[in-house]
Amino acid sequence: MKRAAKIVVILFAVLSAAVAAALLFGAEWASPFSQDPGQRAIFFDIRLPRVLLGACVGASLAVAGAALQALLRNPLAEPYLLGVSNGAALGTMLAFVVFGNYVFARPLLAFAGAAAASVLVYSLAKTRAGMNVERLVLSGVIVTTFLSSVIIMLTTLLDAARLRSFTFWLLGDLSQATWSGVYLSLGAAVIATIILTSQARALNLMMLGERDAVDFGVETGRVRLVVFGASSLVVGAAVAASGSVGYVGLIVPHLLRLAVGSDNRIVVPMSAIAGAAFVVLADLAARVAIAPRELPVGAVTALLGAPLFIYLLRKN
Amino acid sequence: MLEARDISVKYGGTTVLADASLSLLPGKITAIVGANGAGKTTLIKALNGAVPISAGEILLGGKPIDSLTRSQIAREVAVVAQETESRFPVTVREFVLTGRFAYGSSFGWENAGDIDAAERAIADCELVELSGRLMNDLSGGERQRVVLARALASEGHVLLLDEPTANLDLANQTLMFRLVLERCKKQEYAAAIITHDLNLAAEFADEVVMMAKGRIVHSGKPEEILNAANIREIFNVEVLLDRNPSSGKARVTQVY
Repeated sequence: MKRAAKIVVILFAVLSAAVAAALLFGAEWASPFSQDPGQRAIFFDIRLPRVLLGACVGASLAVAGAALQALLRNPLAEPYLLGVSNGAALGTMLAFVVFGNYVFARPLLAFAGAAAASVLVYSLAKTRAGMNVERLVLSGVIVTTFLSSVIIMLTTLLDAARLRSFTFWLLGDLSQATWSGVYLSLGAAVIATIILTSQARALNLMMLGERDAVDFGVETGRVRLVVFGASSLVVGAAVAASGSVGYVGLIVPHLLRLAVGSDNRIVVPMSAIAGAAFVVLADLAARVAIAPRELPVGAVTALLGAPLFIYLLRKN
Repeated sequence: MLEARDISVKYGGTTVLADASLSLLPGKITAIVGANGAGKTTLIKALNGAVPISAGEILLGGKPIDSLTRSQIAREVAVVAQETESRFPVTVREFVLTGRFAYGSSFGWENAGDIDAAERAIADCELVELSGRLMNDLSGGERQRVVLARALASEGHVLLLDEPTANLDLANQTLMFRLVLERCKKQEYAAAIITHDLNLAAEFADEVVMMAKGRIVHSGKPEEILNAANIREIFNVEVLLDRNPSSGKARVTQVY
């Protein structure tokens, strides 16, 4: 417990430092106290919503990853790799194509898409004997590639200018951050973190085995419904705002477990804080690496996440 | 305490357990024996409502088990199953504390009573030195003891043990049975234990249930049930029976 408290303090310090650095640095220095109105505009109108959105998206994806891993007894489970992010991306695109700029359609259909993809991948992976690591990963690949091809077909309906921004968005991109996106994403992240943390003690048993959980008093069907529901909500909101930022839900909970152990009552809520810091830093790297041009943040997270995925797969 | 009346279980369309009746009473150990695939594990799973029954009824403390929540059942019935390896690093102490889930408080953390119960179970199962170690670093015998400790920590007065001594060395087998026996005799626990070791069943059980092809074919006191004809019928092997010179209980020797 003492160690956990220490790590909470460290994580908050890292998050604060990450947010400060991401606000000040970039293609050029921006200060909130500058006499130059241009610099202040960069700081308050461009960077502030972008950094806050990055923090919310990181918290969302990491907390969903931590809970899904425990639920599915698989350290490789992650919204992006399971196809849940792509489900949300397809929902967002459908909303865009069908409902145009109606602002609430996107997160709603993103949530529906994420939920549908969760259910699909779960039913593909589940057998009567249970669920093994490889089968879940393969089911995720199948769902992801299928949804990707549908998304690509939909992009043919877009004109060239929109196509470029959509391609960036699909890879995970924070550059189009808006305040409404920040509020929505923040609300979803806070609600989902509370809901998922409330299931953490049950997840401690689910993580050991379905039979363990049933025998010791967990209503497994209800926990599954709540965790899939809350993670779909939060992934839907994150993807609608910033596209599919991959591997955050893999990297962050993995590193946390190395530091604090596997108790989900600690891992799940702390994943939110650590995930926020991680994406803020990844986006800073994406902005400065080839400045003045930018990388999509999803490219940076995937660059870090894919090797970890291979390592974890080999270890299993 | 826990009573099954003519229960059947179906998986898909196939009946894997038919018309089984069984009473687990305080202070009594019931051994369940039978060939692989005879329905022993299904019977244990049905007894705590972990698999649904298609016919019959199960009464826990006089109440139909399907009228109780999972937590209510878990506070009465504790299960020791074969533990599968987890991919997450969990310490012995954390593992044992998961046995207290059914008593959960609203904030999701254990209270002093939970920690006390877990620590007593850890001490009873001789795990104090191992309590900070990771489950995946333990030997098979040690892990199985941790699984028993979790069941004891839950303080359920009905113990259901699914081959708790499989893969254990002689010392750990004896320790496992001694711990179950102590709880049954001193604290009036009821226990059902699946085992392939007929001599352990003869030594420790008050009642033996023999299963074949999803049915209970014989049940009664070990000295009445464990005879050459019944064992031939169930396992298709020839045995000699005599008495264990130290305890005077039935002793089964296989003839090869």
